Amino acid sequence: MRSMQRAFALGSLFSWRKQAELAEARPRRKRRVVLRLWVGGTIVLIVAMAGLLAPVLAPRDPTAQDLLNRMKPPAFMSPRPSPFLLGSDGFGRDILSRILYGVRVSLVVSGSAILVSGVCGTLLGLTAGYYEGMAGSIIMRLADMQLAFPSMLLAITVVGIFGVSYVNLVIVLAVSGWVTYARVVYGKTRALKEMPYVLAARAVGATHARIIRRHILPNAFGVVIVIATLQVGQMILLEAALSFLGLGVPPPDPSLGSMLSEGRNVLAIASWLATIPGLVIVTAVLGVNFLGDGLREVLDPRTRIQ
Amino acid sequence: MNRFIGKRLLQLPFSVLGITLIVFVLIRMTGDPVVLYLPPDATQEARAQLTRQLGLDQPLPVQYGVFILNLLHGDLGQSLYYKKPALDVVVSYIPATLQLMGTALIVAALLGMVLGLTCAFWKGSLFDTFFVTLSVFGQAMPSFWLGIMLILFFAVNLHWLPASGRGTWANMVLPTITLLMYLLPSTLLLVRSSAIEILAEDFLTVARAKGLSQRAILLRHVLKNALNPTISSLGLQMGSLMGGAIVTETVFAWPGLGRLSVEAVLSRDFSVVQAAVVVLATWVVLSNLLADVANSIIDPRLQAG
Amino acid sequence: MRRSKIVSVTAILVASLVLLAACVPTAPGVPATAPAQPAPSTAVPAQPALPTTAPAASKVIRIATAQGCTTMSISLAGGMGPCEIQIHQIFEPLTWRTVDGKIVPLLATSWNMVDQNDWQVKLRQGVKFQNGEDFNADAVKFSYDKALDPKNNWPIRSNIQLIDRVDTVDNYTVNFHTSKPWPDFPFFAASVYIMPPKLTQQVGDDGLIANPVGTGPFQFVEFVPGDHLTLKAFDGYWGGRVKIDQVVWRIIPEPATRVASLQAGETDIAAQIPMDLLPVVKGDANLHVDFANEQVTLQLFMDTLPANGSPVADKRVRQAIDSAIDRDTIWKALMGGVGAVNGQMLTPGIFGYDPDIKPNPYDPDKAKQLLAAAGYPNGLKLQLQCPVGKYLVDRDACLAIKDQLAKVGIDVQANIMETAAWAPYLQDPKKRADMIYVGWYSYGNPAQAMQWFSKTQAWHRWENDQYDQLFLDAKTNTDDKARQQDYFKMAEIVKEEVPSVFLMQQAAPYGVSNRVLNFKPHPIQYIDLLHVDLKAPK
Repeated sequence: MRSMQRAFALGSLFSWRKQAELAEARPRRKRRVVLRLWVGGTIVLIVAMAGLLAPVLAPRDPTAQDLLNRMKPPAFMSPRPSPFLLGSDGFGRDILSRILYGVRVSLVVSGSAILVSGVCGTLLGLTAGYYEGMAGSIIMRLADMQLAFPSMLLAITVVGIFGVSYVNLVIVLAVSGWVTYARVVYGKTRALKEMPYVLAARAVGATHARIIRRHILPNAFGVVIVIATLQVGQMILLEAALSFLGLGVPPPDPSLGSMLSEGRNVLAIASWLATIPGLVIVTAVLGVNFLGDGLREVLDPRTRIQ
Repeated sequence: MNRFIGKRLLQLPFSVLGITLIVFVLIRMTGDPVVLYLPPDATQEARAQLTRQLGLDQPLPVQYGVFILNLLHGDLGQSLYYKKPALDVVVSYIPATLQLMGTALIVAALLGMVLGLTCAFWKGSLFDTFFVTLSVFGQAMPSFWLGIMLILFFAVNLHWLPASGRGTWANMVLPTITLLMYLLPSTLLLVRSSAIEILAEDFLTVARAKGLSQRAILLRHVLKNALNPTISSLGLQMGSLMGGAIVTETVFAWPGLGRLSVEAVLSRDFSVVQAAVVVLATWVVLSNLLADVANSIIDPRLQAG
Repeated sequence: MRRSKIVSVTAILVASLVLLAACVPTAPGVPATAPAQPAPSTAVPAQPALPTTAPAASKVIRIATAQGCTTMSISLAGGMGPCEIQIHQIFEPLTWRTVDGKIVPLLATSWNMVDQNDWQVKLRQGVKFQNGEDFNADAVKFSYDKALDPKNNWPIRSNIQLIDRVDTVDNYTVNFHTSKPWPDFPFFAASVYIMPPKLTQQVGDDGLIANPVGTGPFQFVEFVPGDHLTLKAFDGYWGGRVKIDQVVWRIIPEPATRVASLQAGETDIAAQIPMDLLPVVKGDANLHVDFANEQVTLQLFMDTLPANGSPVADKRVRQAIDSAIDRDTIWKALMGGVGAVNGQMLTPGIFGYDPDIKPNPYDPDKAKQLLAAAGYPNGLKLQLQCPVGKYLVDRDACLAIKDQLAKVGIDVQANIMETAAWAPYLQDPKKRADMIYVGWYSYGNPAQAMQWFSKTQAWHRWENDQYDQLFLDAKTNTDDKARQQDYFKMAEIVKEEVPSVFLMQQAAPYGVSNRVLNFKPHPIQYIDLLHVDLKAPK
């Protein structure tokens, strides 16, 4: 649900940047875009590498428990030298190692969920926006229904019937996420199809498929990218809520979300348990955001930089 | 206009029916409320009796048919755990929900308008950058982290505000801030982007050339054009916030609909889940409709569809 | 230009967030409130927000619980219903279970088995309901008939359906006719609340739910589901008016918030404090922790039925698991020093508890040998179903057990599930798992907990004829010595056969403000306010 409220913000973020940049001088804009790509790319690269190289980088086994050394503070907060660079969690597991592996799990899970929901949502939004009529009404009312639907119920049902698994988790997350794309793409498509060049293309007898493929989709792509980049954070947070009830990543596998919710109770005495994964999430989201923004810039036909 | 409203209102029952059907089937797939309701050493006979009483021994289509028939009479069943009509239970949670959501939405809308416009006018300034960055942060920040931190800081350490519960305005402050953290970014960015868009458009250049004062420009054109997306987003938020502020409601012990529906799902109180979904679905559809209508009143060019 | 701005703003934001996190006390030993501020819990105007009808000078105690109290209907009460604690303040049963697990008179003054199938109960005289109605034999008959009526389907009925007839002998004597000899009657009589018959007939069941009236020490004032319930002292209480004037029950589901509300002085007692937050309460100069060890043993309930084909059907595998779990470490780390390690179904103080039975020592080598002997030298895979939030320690204990069993080669798939998904594994023969993490309550009555190993229980997962004979004998034998010997023998068999791997006795920890006097936690999560008082605010 939360992600839904953001749909519009995301769209606006996109158009804000576009407009701001149109007004700017070309060389400066180009420099800025390159910069964004660099900053975002670097963050994302670091995060992705951290996840990818987790087995090499992690100082300990992320699931190895040491119950007698639980909730030890990070080395920089600890008065005594600590074997745990970023502290240990409620089972005495090494937070650094869990973060490294958790990044990996969270990126794969939220990435797949975003891919699935993005593709489905975009297609549904396109269909509804382009053809409108009966199909459009049904799709958009489906979106309404999704909004009123308790996503917890879906998660419980899916997990109850098929058990906890990564695939099921991705399905639950994707079902909760598609509305955002569908709504924004719907609005975008309706606006785009009245554009003079689309009307012109239709007048010269272009097929619907061709119009969608050549004119609508490329122009709607930017906004989809923006939503997708911001949904990275949303998906991780949703997974956190689900893992609280054992509906998320199967424990004891680490994920940023489950680490976040495991630290929920002890914010008052061991704030690092939730704060460290929280900061990683925020950083990753910022990086993905910058990168996505730069990419959109490069891909967008109208603002494409030669 | 009237035809459009009529059409959407006509779709309303179908949306509600659709979602109740899905929820009705799904919740029955999640397990048997009897198992949770009766003690584990309850006899088979007591279980069978309760199952009969709840109508769960009937085939699913029959159960749904009965549900729809009763729905038409305004009867959404009896709550297993509240021991009163499920609809009454849901309705009793609405005032608290509206109070918090309404405040948060209004503050988000007003603050978002003001901040968004300011950001747009001084695009690229430190002020602008601060709020845009804050927005990106706000979107990625876990509500419970912020909520608990606010409680620890303002209620436990400073003793300025109550930690939880519902009562005076003071109880509203912390949950409202927590909600704002994810409501404000969308409104702010939205207003900002539309304002920048409008400020760059030709008719404003013409208006300026005509010698209209800055303030007149702001009010007449920018505000009016910035209102549209704000209303659409408000409509969406209005719809989704009713049932979607679960974390904030839980952290601040706020008796809201989101918490109610999750608790009902977890305790398998089928009729409360169904009643909540009927109310929420109606609310979502109506608030979206309201937003569309408001938009086409403000800007008649936008014939909503 | 722009980048530096973004970077600096980001830095400021991160810094402020970290600061906010740092402002929060990190060391449990440091009091959250500066000592310069004397007793903020009383100095601070304690939540003017909550509606109170009592005058300002009155003694109002505010209690925070986790579970949502949903209804004032006594139909849900009697076991561990959602509003059990609250309803118990308004309504009273005939007998009561004390803090030390004894059955004492409440609305009854005495009871005895006049013959094998009849219990005769003398009622307390001069007791009035809060509406002025007299408490008498009619009220008892009325209430029991209601609880026993199959049409009403009260959860408590399963526990008392051995009663087949309730007769009033005279105004203050009631005869309970049971279909079988039933020594446990006084125990279960503590679960049936007595309601006023005339009023109930007048206003109906719904009327009594909307405005509950009982004989208890507190009277109903206001109930807002999901938020709070307000009760006030009943002046005409037969046991003498309680010392506090009003009690406000608040529902605060988030544990961190519950503790924060206690620290902020908004609540006086907070129930169900998670172990990890106990240091916060202990570290606050205005608060302390009170706990009761509960009458429940957390355990891994095994599916030993050969027909189900689980590896744990082999006794040696169960014994291996028993030896492979390091209870002491789990208890120290996850229970924070409250509760106790326990090696049998019953808990200390319960009739039939055998102090000579100790939990098996932690011995991973022995576990490996046992596994090899059972034909699993290379380990095996097992399923463990585990609820989340049902017990004080559940999810975390399961994950710790998974880790410990992995060390002897048992690969446990720990399925953490919400309670409603977990419950069917105990009660639905079609849903099976090798092990279920469960805590069986005795509520002070040994048979209540021991029944889960008996064939008489429909959902048993272990069969042992000798155990069953002992169990049935203990249930109906009226000689206490013999009954106790029965329970000792049962415990020995269980110890040898390991139908369950016992872990720990659960505790119920409360965070309590220092202004609360005479609060004594109850071993089954009741909150007894009869003697509780509040220090006058300074």
